[in-house]
Amino acid sequence: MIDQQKQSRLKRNRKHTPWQMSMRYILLCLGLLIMVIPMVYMVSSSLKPNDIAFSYPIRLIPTAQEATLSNYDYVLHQKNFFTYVGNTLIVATATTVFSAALSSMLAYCISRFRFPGRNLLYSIIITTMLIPGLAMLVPQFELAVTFKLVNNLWGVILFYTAWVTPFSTFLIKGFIDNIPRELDEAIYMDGGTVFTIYRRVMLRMASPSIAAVSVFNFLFAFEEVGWSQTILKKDELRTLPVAITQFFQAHNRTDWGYVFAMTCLAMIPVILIYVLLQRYFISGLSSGAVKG
Amino acid sequence: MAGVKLSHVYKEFDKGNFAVSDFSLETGEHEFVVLVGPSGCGKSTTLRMIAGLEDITAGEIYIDGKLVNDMEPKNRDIAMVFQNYALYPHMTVFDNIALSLQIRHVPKDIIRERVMAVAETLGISQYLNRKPRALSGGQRQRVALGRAIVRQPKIFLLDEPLSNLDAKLRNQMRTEIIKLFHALGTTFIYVTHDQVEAMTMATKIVVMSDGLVQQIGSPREIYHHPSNVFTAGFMGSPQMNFFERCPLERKDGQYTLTFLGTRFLLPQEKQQQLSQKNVQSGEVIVGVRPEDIRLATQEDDDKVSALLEVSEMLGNEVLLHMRKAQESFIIRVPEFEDARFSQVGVAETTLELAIALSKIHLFDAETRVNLI
Amino acid sequence: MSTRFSRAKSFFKRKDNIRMLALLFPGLAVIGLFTFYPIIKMFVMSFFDWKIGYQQVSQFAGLMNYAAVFSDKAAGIAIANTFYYMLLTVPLQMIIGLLVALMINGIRRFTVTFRLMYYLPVITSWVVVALLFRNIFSNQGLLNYFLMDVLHVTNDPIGWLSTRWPALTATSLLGIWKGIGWNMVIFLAALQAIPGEYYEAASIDGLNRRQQFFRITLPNIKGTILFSLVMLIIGAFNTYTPIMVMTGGNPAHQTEVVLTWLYYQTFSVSGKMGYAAALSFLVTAIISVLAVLLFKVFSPQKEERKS
Repeated sequence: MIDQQKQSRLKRNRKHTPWQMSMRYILLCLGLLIMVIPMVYMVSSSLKPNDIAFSYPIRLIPTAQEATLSNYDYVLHQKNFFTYVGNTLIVATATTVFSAALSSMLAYCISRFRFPGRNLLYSIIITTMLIPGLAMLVPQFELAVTFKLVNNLWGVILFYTAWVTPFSTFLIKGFIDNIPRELDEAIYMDGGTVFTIYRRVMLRMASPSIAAVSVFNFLFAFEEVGWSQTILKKDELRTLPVAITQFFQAHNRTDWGYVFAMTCLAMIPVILIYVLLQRYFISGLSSGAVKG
Repeated sequence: MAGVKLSHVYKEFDKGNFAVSDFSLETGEHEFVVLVGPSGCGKSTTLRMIAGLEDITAGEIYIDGKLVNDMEPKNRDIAMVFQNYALYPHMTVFDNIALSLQIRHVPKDIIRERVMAVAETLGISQYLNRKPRALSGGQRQRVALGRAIVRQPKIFLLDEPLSNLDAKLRNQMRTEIIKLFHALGTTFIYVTHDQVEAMTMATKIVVMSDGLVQQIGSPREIYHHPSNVFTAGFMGSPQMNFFERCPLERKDGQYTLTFLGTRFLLPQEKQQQLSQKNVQSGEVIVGVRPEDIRLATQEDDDKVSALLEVSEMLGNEVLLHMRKAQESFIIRVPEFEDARFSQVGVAETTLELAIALSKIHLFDAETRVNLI
Repeated sequence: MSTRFSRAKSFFKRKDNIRMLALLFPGLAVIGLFTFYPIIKMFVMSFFDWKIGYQQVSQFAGLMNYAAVFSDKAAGIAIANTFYYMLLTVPLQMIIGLLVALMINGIRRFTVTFRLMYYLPVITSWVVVALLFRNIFSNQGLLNYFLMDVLHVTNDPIGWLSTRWPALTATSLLGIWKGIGWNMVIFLAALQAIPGEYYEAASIDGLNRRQQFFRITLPNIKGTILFSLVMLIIGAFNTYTPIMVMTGGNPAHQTEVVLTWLYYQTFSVSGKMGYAAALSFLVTAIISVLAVLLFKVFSPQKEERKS
């Protein structure tokens, strides 16, 4: 840690001409505009009445007379809106918790033990990482039918967990590989068991990577559409992203004010998580990536 | 208080490859055993077998008279200090030390009492609420020791505990570990690659190389009576000078030895020892420690002249790198002896040297074992 | 030293083996049942005229499904579209992401702000941004307004989403826009992991900035490039939501990608499940081949370094 800080300080001491510096800031700001304008446009459209949302000239910021919360009012009074939100939060939270538990346990075992079939298991995990979840649509749907998971939130949670666990395991394993074995051995010598090591060392020491994959798993479960719309056919079971697409189609694909009000609302939990946990978005992802 | 006994212990890490072969050792009840050797010699593996972190391929290990081959580490009543301290970064110093007791469900007030006592002994009381990250290397080392001590084990295992410290701290911690050893009165088994640590701390040294025990003995024995070329070369700094393929002749009951271009009649004591062992004429390896060669004076008989190549000033003494024909060697002389040598790199001077023949070591050229 | 030997081989005793199995089992069960078993099943199904539901008999069809996929023009279009999307999005988001990372790495203030803002699209749901881009690219959308009334490049609105290549390009632009932040973050981390001494030594040796980039920066972030490449390729084949939302595969299945086409074949038409399974298997094969190729291309140097 200290070394890294030192290094970045060293790097900052490298000489740069003021011209180079200002070019960088200008380019970064230009890029930022492209990143942010669509978002601003979305928020501003959500604040405009539907009839003037498309009137020319398009204004990025609505005028004070135009601005209205009526779109939000309409969306919030939609039947089942809060049910969708609730469903999505349940699904995303459960997926996150399950996959964090499963993948950290798997990662610990694969990283630390040489048991028969270990390499086979690891290659299966790598292979399943490569395959898009939806590519297994047919057999998975059949499985869901067999286990009566259709129209059941569990049908979404379990499959999401199975989809994200391989990659989570891969990332956490990379992290655990770098935790000195001496730490496990010290506990083992002091009378701890495999469980003690998992609980006292792994869960604590690998927490940055677990937090990072959890953030991603949450976002994934929060936004997935394909499987969710397949499995959850009843309206009161829908998750938010599916509900948004349905809502969009139900409104003749023109009432953008409503749609954007809904998407803005859907972004609130994500933004909250982002602001609260932002360091995990970056640290954990990079720890896996830098190693490669 | 207890001793450790290993008898004919083997560790095979691949088919046919042994990390440790035929290791036997018996310690007393209050002994500081140092396993020393170059990296990869099997010393750490041996320690880990005693700890129970590594299975034993063959042989028996006894702790306190009990066979522990299949006993789990936690039941062996041992504690271990790891090379990188193995401190948990997310726990405070207190929790790090207390952890082993917490796992064993020792009552809280007793934990508190024992941790405090240990912290007191090691002088880390004021750091108990800090995280290891906020400590210096020496303080971390103390915490690691504290974690071992708090268990009050019968045996302490230490795996290169000082190798991550700088030279000054290392000296200081060395003394403290020795003090601790005397205070606790238990057996310490200590692994290091540093022969200075071995010499200064041990009551018994085990020199290892390539998974084999080369010699077991007190520091004094190991230094003065190395059993083979490896031990002789490994212990002592600068290293002992070796002269390969020197003819040793036995004629009329008298042994003469030729090396450094000079024919020496060996002193009385060596003559007796050699004839007792009935050593015949042949080629031998001669070992001479740097301090057993000095600058010759008028009275010396068998003088050897050699070229001075480099001189290294160490403060109270000077190391002179000498060359004679193909042989190069080092001698150690007191600094005050000749002001000329205290200058760096005064080279290309010829010096007359005298060798303390009573202190030379003779090794068999084939087996490289000490002839005496 | 002892680290050379497999410590763990016999590290734990019997009871601990059972405990380890207890840790392994839940993950194994879930992955095995819900992903590994379906993969095998999918492979089997691809050789059958698979039927789902009561009293349906699935007939063995040999390679019929594969033949169907290969002779199906629409499947070809879907695969070609996926490759188009991949070839456009993967290099561009990597290059732009790397450039942004280099610039952020080279400035002193507001680095955190820039990082957070560039990352914002990454965390936003695909449904949300796809709807947003659908609006922006629609006939009366922001882009056409900009082209017509601000830049006066054209007098009539361009139907971005109503023809194949413009629609795919619009979707790809969404993919790039959303992916830049992700690439920026991992490349930034990789850049910061390069020891500053390398650059100091290089500038003493007289390497200019360009040379420093190609001789020090690039070789040192090679692992990250590989990681990003593999992840992005997997991601490109995973594309479903943006197409579904932005074009719905229209017009006339011209803009389908593999997953949307698969979905359509499975549920919209009379359940061509064997066909879908065969297509899935082909996609899986394509991704695996690409991944293996990438590792082959990148790994020789890695092994050199090891030895």
